Amino acid sequence: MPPIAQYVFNGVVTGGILALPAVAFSLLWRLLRFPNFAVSTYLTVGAYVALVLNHGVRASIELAWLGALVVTGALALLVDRIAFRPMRDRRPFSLAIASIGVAFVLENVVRFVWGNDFRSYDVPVTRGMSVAGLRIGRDQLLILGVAVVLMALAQAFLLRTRLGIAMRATADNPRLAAVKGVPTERVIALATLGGGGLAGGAGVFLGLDASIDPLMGGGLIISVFAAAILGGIGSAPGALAGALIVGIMEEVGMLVVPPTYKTAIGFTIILAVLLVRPTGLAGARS
Amino acid sequence: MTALLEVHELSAGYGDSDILHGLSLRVDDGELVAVIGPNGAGKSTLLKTLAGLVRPRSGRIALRGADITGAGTRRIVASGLCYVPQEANVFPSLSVWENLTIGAWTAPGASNERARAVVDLFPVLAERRRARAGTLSGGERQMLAMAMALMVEPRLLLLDEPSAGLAPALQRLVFDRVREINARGLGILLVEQNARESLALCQRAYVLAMGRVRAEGAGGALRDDPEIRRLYLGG
Amino acid sequence: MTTMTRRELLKASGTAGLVLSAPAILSAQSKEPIPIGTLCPLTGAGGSYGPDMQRSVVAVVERINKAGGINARPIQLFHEDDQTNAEAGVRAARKLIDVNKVVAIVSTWASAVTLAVKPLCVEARVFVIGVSGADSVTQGDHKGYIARTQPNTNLQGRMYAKFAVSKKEWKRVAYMALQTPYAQSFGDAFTGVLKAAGVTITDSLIYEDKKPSYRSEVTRVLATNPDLIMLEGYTPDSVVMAKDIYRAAYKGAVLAPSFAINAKFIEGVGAEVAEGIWNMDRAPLFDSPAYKEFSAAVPRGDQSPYAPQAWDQMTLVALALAAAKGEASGTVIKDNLRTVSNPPGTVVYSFADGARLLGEGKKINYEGASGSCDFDQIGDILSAPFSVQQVRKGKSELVMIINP
Repeated sequence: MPPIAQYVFNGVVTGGILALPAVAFSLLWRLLRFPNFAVSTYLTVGAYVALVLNHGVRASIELAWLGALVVTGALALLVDRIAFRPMRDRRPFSLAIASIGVAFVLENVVRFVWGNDFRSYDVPVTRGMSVAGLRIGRDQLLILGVAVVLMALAQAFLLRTRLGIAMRATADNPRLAAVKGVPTERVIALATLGGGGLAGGAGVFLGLDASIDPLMGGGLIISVFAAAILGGIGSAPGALAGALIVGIMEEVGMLVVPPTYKTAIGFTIILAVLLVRPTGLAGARS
Repeated sequence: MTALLEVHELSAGYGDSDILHGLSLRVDDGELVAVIGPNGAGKSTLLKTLAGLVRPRSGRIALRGADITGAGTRRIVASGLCYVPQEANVFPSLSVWENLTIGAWTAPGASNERARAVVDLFPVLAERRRARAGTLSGGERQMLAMAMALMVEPRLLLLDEPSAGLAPALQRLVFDRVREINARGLGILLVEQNARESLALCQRAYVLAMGRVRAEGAGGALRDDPEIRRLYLGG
Repeated sequence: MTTMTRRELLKASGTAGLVLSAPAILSAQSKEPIPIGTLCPLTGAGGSYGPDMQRSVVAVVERINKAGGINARPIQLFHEDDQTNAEAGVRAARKLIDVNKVVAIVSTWASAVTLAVKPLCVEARVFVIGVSGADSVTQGDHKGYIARTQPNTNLQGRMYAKFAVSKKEWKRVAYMALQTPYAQSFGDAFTGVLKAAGVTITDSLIYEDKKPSYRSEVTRVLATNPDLIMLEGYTPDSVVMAKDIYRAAYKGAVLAPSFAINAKFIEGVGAEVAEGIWNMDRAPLFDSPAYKEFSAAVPRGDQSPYAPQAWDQMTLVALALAAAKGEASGTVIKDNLRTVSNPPGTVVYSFADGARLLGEGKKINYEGASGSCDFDQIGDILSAPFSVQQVRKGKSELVMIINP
């Protein structure tokens, strides 16, 4: 048996990628009061946007990543305008169902344009290095690093900037925020843009780490959902912690249950959290 | 003289039904005006309509002569009218200080100085400036809600039942602050369940029933009116 | 892409029709044609294989009809597209059975399709022969109406193991398989042969599809220090797996099925990661005269792993009908399949030779383009040659053929 530390590290990398969509999913849920399942599809969209840039115009992967961030954010905004904004006052359940519909449409647009086949970026795979008995991939380290920086930026934005405070205020009570003069629709647009961007960027990471196919993002939704619930809806650090825990449990869980039950681990976490501590780790009210 | 707030023949409501039926009232500069009346009289709806949360169907609202009928919340708050809802009037997951920052949203310029000035009025908020508003006591929360409203240096404050749900000692404290704010020259339109207290506090008052003004007059006069006493003050 | 092949197929079908009328004038004017259906995937996931299979069947029928048909009756082909979809396959099979009254359906591809049309065909006494690999295809009570030229997973597992055993340096072998209905049976056959040969099986791991990474699966398997990892998956998961194996700095060998280690795979992981990966596939019988005739008759047929099998399937059906002397039905095909394909008998490599010997009352044993085509009682082939390839500088190169 390899040291458990290797599994934990593997889980940290998985969790790092998971954290970006989990934070986006969690914040948007709090802000707009419904779980937006289309967020997982933004990963797929981001991965394909970067693919087009990387293969089509031969952009470096760094540039393609930035492009994916911007384009996916813009797409998320467009989707919000077309699909969710007209439904702003509907019940969360209706909006959640609408988001599943949006995810379905986006996924099929991707299939229609790029086909069902998987793709890969024009980036060589590198051998991992050995650090203190741990096998650590360079790409994974880089992905983890960028994910952590993005999380820190998101958190700094939310805590330190006026707009960030306004976003949290809008999430708390949109009517009161409006009474105080906060332009809530613009705050929502900004959050959608940022959330879509984070998810799109994570999609590129996922494509680099594994491969790109139309179902890549949709397949993650259970893990993203579990991370957001575990962290407490609306808490960015909570979602980060939730993502890391889900990632680690999925990997370390292999020591206890067969690998074919990986997805079941996410479900189990969701169930356990809902039963034991519905407010999640951060304990924010929803 | 132009009134601070002039409401003329205002009708408003939710869905298909009107709550306010051609209601008229005015508040003059620096005046403390109370609105009393039974449950369902339309007191809260009146404030929400003035704040821009409910769209008026007909009538006219003017603030210092400027027509703000049907204006958005942003424009209304920017023109000096500030509304403090009865419930959910602070952001629970934000700190006290952050709440004040949002309170000053439309006038960010001198936010810090104003916050200091406002906190002078409510010293307890200075002690708890880093606490999350959700952890404040009911009285502290009410202070914070008023403090937030003062952050934009409004000309007119709309207070929706600031004493609701508070212990008598705290109620007194809240009314003291209301009086103090008014003494600084702010117009206040105060909606209260506690009619006795608010009639004692105000210069003038309106009695609302079924979305219409039933009576109006000086606070003391209304309090001594046997008809009003019988109907709204419980004998 | 798809429309191109469709257009080509229309042309091919037209040709078959012309060919059909030619022998009718020559020898079989009064004889009613024997209707036979093809049910290949012309679209969908199998869309890159179906057209070549259909071309092979058309080429065989062209030859049979030119030589005077089966007992002077020509074959009339009816082509349907199963869209690599069970539902579409069933609709198409219904049409072939009810409208065209076919006696046999040849060249089904996806296991899901074959399994779906199986009950219909058994009930209508229509013979089905295809290239589907799932064990369940030939299981159950099908009364002999089902057969296939594709090895079942047990035979595949044994052939992969035969190659692994031949490499003496592979003393410790780990088995990793994607969760599929045949991961277990393939693994049992594969590890069974290896264990019997004294090779240590260090780990057996079945993994889930559509996971963003297989890092921990690889961690677990590499901790057992294997010399060889047998990776039984499809292309998409094999790409992720191969990347993770490479990143984990594994220095041993990897063996996988060729249908996973294809050009898409190499493009997906890059030549560096793919370098040295062994892969195996069911091979045609390159030395067989039947294969030579097939590759001359079917353009680009040598590029398709299934076209030689389709060639043999059509030939076998025709020979079984020829052996029946008169009646043409699904029942006589299933009753005569083994008499024309299995030993004893004179070895023949084409319909013409086989039909002539049958006419003389002799026993025959057809040896085809895809292998020796000997069937067991449930309709599985007993043996098949396999090719071993290795990825070298971004291309899979043929290393050897393993014969049964």
